[in-house]
Amino acid sequence: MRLTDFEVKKKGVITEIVDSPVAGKLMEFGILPGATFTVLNKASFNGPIFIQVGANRVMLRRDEASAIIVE
Amino acid sequence: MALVGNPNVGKTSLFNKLCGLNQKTGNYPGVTIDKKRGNFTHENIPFELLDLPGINSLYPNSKDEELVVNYLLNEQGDELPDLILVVVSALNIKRNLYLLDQLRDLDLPVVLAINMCDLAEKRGIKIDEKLLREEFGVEVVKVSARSDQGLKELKDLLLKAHSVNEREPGYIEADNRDLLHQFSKIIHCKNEYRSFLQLTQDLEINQKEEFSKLKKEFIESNKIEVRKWKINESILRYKLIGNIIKKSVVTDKSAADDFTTKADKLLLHPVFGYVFFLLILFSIFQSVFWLAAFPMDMIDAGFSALSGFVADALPSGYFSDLITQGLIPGIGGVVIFVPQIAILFLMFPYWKRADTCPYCLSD
Repeated sequence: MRLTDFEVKKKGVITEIVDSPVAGKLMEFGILPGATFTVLNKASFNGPIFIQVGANRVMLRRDEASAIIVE
Repeated sequence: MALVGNPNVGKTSLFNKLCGLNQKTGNYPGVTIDKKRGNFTHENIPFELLDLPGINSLYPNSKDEELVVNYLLNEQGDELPDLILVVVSALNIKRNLYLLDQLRDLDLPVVLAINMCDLAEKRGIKIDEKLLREEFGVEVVKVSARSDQGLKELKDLLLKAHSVNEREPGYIEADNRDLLHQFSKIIHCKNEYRSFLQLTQDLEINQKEEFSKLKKEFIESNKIEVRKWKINESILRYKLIGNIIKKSVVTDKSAADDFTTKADKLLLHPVFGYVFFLLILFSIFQSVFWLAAFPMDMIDAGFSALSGFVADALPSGYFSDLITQGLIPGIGGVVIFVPQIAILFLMFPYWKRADTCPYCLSD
């Protein structure tokens, strides 16, 4: 499942980061395969997704978030 | 000495505390390095401090990040700082240590200042700085720019001479180390991480044609997957940092519900978020009119007084009418909007500053 399809307030595990130009940047922010995360919020109108990975909170655009495969 | 750290960790607050200046925070692209110098003396030894824009890593994503990275990697060396003071936030130490870990591999003398320690303690985060010192091989001090905690210890620490020992590269897989070594030799670079950074990204400092050609040939002939190297770096570094954090940082989760979390819940709400956004825009709009009303009245009165005065002074006729009814009201009609425009433009920088999202990958 892609992160964009993940439900708000639920916890999940990142299984894979799709190879893409943002992949390196995501990983620098600690968004790595195996990390657990919580979706804090999803903005309406296809807006950004706000997630927490560890103590780190990151806001992602939809296209950035769609590179993250989760379960 | 240069201050380096992630955005939003309180570099400028610390800079102000050390130098006693009221230096404005600037996060606009293209701010030159020279503008943010400060001086202070401790035990009669003068220090010059450089406040740099925040960077997330040594892979720049924006103009100001590029500025910092080019500065830290410049080969001339005469401009290089004698010491890098890395500032991290105790609240988000795992991500912040990523940058420290990268800087550590450049073999530049580094001192680590863990800022916002008072806040972290309130939120139940305990950090063992002695362990961090051993693990990274750099001096570590806990500070709080807000409450002056640890500032004296920090200054005392800066007095000492610092040298950093080379360490095993933990950012590259063992199989690729030979390749990196070869590349370092080809480009005559002593520090392997510096050549790693030059190999994996295009930097302004090595725009020269020969260099690009050399690099391209090297990458192609050895079939190097640059992106994979970068991704592996992140994975390897986080693994290392994760292990260190496990030993040195204890978080008491029950204290984690704080003001920011609560504010975020409201401000980032799918509906209320937009309401707040519109409210802020509306209040800017309103205050422009409200603040500008007074100077606008003055300008209006001034121009009517001027045209009255000129009408009295000149003999009546076409020429007088041209000036009093044409020229002066015409100019007045334009000038009267200057206060509104000026106030709006004065507010923009604050808006822009508030706009730089602390959670985003890039702005």
